[in-house]
This record gives sequence, structure tokens and C-alpha cells, in this order.
Amino acid sequence: MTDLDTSIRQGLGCLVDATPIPPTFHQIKQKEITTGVRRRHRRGLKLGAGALVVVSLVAVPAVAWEVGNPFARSYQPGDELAAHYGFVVPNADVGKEQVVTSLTGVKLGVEIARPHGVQVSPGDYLPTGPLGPLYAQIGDVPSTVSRSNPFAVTGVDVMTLQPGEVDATARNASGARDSIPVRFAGHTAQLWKPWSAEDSTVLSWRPTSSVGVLLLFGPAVSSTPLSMKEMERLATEVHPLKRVPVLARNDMTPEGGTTSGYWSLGQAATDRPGAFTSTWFSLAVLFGGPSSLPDALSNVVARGSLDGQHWTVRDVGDPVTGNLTLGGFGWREENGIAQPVAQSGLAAESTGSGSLRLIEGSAPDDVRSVRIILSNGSSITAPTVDIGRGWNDRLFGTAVITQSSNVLSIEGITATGHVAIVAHGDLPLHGNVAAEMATKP
Amino acid sequence: MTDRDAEIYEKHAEELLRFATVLVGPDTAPDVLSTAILHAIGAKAWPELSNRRAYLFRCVLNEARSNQRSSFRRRRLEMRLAPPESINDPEPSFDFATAIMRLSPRQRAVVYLSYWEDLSNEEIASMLDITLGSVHRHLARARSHLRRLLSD
Repeated sequence: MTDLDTSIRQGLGCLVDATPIPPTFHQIKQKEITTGVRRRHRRGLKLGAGALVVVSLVAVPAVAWEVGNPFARSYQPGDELAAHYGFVVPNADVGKEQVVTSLTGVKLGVEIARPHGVQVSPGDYLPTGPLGPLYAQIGDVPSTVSRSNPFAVTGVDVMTLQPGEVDATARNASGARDSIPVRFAGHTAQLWKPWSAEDSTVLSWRPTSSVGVLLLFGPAVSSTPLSMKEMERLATEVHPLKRVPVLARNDMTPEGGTTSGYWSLGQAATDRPGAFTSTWFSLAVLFGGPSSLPDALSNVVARGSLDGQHWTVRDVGDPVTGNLTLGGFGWREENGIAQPVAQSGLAAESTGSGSLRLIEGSAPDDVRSVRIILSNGSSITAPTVDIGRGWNDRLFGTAVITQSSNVLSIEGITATGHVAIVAHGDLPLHGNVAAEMATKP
Repeated sequence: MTDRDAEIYEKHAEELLRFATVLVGPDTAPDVLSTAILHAIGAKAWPELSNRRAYLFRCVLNEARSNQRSSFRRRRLEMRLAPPESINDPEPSFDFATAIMRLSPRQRAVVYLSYWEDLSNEEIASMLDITLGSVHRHLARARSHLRRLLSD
């Protein structure tokens, strides 16, 4: 490649980076109504320029509010960050720690706030934060997650990450050393073939110069005959999520406290390879520890072959501190309504003062916050969020470092401070337990 | 405008907007895309098209060219009406993005499809419904123009 070619690509990269969020089809239809573009086309009339300006002025801020800053920008430690990572559960059989099980259904891409950035060396923070749109439209559809095999997630997943993290993360997910250049859905992509039957097939590409995307096919998906055409079809479905609600952030200290996650919701998948008709949506959380992201996700520490079978071994989380960096929790959708459900997950060990627990659930739509009362008498308050799916319920999710073993109850509080609902659950926090909580007004 | 139209739009919206952004810049791109979509869907040929994606790309390019012409006319009018001191733009700092924006819309389209979408010349010709010779010519002129700027 010549200097000229490189310069052209860089110049195009700058232009492409500035691409705004597309107008919705509804907005375009509105434009037709207000400006008569099609009529103008047919009749040669010039109508509605003023109205178009008004529509643009109204529409653009609304989109910007939903999406957040669509342009990449640098972040400082302590900045509030929106989601930018999807989620992948390491799928080696051997892990040093266990992540949350019971992850079935469609997964979300999420990154818990890295309150101080990811410190890769003293004074040096890995820039994190919104890279622009979150590419995570394809949800995960695992079908074989179980306690006995917690890492064998088998669905299709999408991750949005920084370009510099793409290769290492793809290597860790696939176990592969190298990739093959391929063309996928208009993308110049890299195909990472799985090293073993437990590894994922990974496609990686860069929709813009500042964003990398991984499309991961879990073992059950990639071990079935998955044609390139099918993979390409799935790749065409990867597009930015337009709605990334942001939860409020709380401080978390080494002694304890809470922090909240940023999350977004993928769409349900029903017709994809390996699809599992679960109604669970799950929120996946990446807890920023003192590791680089690819290492935090899972790091291939060894690969080899035995009797013709390839195998890989991964560290999960930070092997030095013993912290796990992944966790997940979910809710389920039935008949369009999120049922009152709570689930907790054990996401970290050996924090020195307790474990990082993830607590989430749903509440009626007049509940604006929940007070989660733990068995040690302490309580956590978390806001609820309307995720914009037309559900009658709002969702909440928070993480806490605690030595408590149970959630005693969850109080739903309205905007006026009235306790509208109390969910008594005595929900164990010993790791991978999900329990529906009986509710009563 | 049917649900099927909406599906087709949503499938290609991003890549079309990226294309439009390269052609007219981020501020105007959504408008150009919206107008192009309305024109495309309103076209008589739309229901019968075999390659709607290519057609949409062509509509975006046509709308971008049309937009550029009207922008040029508007700017010329503004220059005539404005006091002289207000039209002295500061000397723009040179970079390659700026240089690409100085190419003609057709050249920009070909450069984008070739360098960013990695399409072959044949694919570009098919996409834009122009001859292979035109693709070669646009690409060669664009490269020559950009090379000159790079060497300055």
C-alpha cells in the first residue's frame, strides 16, 4: 500500500467518523408529509423548506439525547461513561473462577462504569467510553449454559470495542493465533477460526476508524455447519443500538459501596442458528479491574492438543488479585411485560471486603427507585429505568460489594417518595441463584 | 411506504448515511439521505428493482450532486449579497479529509467505494450504473488530484 493509499484511507476514516445517526424511517415519512419531497419530485414544486428546518431542529436534539454523543472523544478518569462493550462469556471448560450461570436468552452489551478508567500503569488510564454507536444488535442465544458447564455459552454475540483491542480479544475468544481476511456484508473483515471445539468463531471488522466490532459465534453455533452466507447475513444485522439508557453512578470504594452499570437492550433473536426460545433478557456487566480489557474478558494462557483434540485454558478475570471481571444478570419478558424478577450474581471474589454482587429486577412503572435491603441491615438505592420497549415495568440494576449473604427485601419508591410496592424475597446472594420474588402492594 | 420499505431502509441506513456523509458532510447527510430515500421509494421502478441497495446508493449520489449544485448557487448568491469582508474565509488547514471533500461527488463516491468499501472497479461500475471506463477515469483523476495535494 502506498503513502497515497494510506492517506486516502485515513482521510476517508476522518469523514466516516463524523457520520451521524441515521434518521428513522418514521422521521423520513414525516419529512414527506411536511415537505412533500416525493410530490416535489413528481410535480416539480418546491415546498416546505421551512418546515424541514423545523423538523430537523426538533429531530436532531431528540436523537442526540437518546444516543449520546455519536462521535468518538477522549475521556478523562472519572468521566461518566456509557456502554461500549458487548459481552462475551469465556467459553473454555477450564476457568479459575466461575461467572454467573443461568444466562439464557438474549444478552445485552454493557460496561459497568469504570469509575476511574482502567489504570494500565500508574497515571496512565486506558481511554474508555462511548466510541459512538454501540454495535450490539444481535443478542446472544445460548442454549447449553448450565452449572456444570458455565462457560459453554453457545450463542451469537456482538462486541463493540476499541480498534486496538480487537485482535487480542478475538484471539482470546477464538483461541486462534491468526486470522484470515474475508469480505463480509460489505466489510473487510478478519475471520478467526476456533482453535478447539470449546472456542468461538470470530469475525472482526471496523465500521469506522475508531470502532472495532467482533461478531462471535459460540461453539454450538460454529460447530454446526454454518455457511459463510449465513454468517454474512448475521453480519448485516449488526448495527448500532440507538438507545442506550444510562444509569446513575454511585461511588465504589475498596471498602464497599455500590456502582451501577450502563446497559442497552438487544433485540430478541428467534430465527438464528442455535436460537433458544428463552424469554430471558440478560444484562451483562463488565467490571473494570486493573487489567487490560482483553485480559479481563478472558485470557488464553495455554493451548494444545491431546489425542487429536485441541484444547485451550483461560484465565478469567484478573489472576493476580483473583477478581472476576464478568458478571451478568437478567430479566425476562413474558407477553410484553417484565415480570417481577430478581436475580443476583457473584461476580468477584477476594475483593478484601466482600464480593461484588449484581442485583437487578423490575418494578411497576410508577416506581422511580428501589431500596434494596441487605441482610446485614444496609441498603442500596438504585434508580429504575424505562428501557423504551413499551413494557409496563421499569428495570433496575446495581452492583454492590458486600459481605451480606441475602437481599431481604426490595422497596419500590415512587417519585413522591411513597413506597408503592415491597418485594420480600430473602434472595440469597451466594452466587448463581435466581429467584422470583413474590410481590405485594 | 410499506413495512417492507422500512425494513429495506433500516437494513441499509447506516451504510447509506456513511456514503452521504463522505459526499456532502455530516451536517447535510441526513437530509440528503432522507430525500434520496423518498425519491427512491417514490420511483415507479422501485417495486420491480432487483438490486435495491445499488439503486439507493445511486439515489444518494444523485441527491448529493443536486445538493451540491444548489449549495453552490446559494453560496454564490450569498457572496454577491454579503459585504466583502464577511466572505473572506480563513485559509483552511490542509488535511486529506478536506482534500477528499474537494473532489467532485462522482470522484468522491468512487474513491469511497474503492478505498473504504473495498469494492472492485467492476462492482463500483455496477453499483453506480456507470461504465468500467468511467470508474477508471474517476479513480485516476481523483488519485492524481490527491497525489498532487500530497506532494505540495
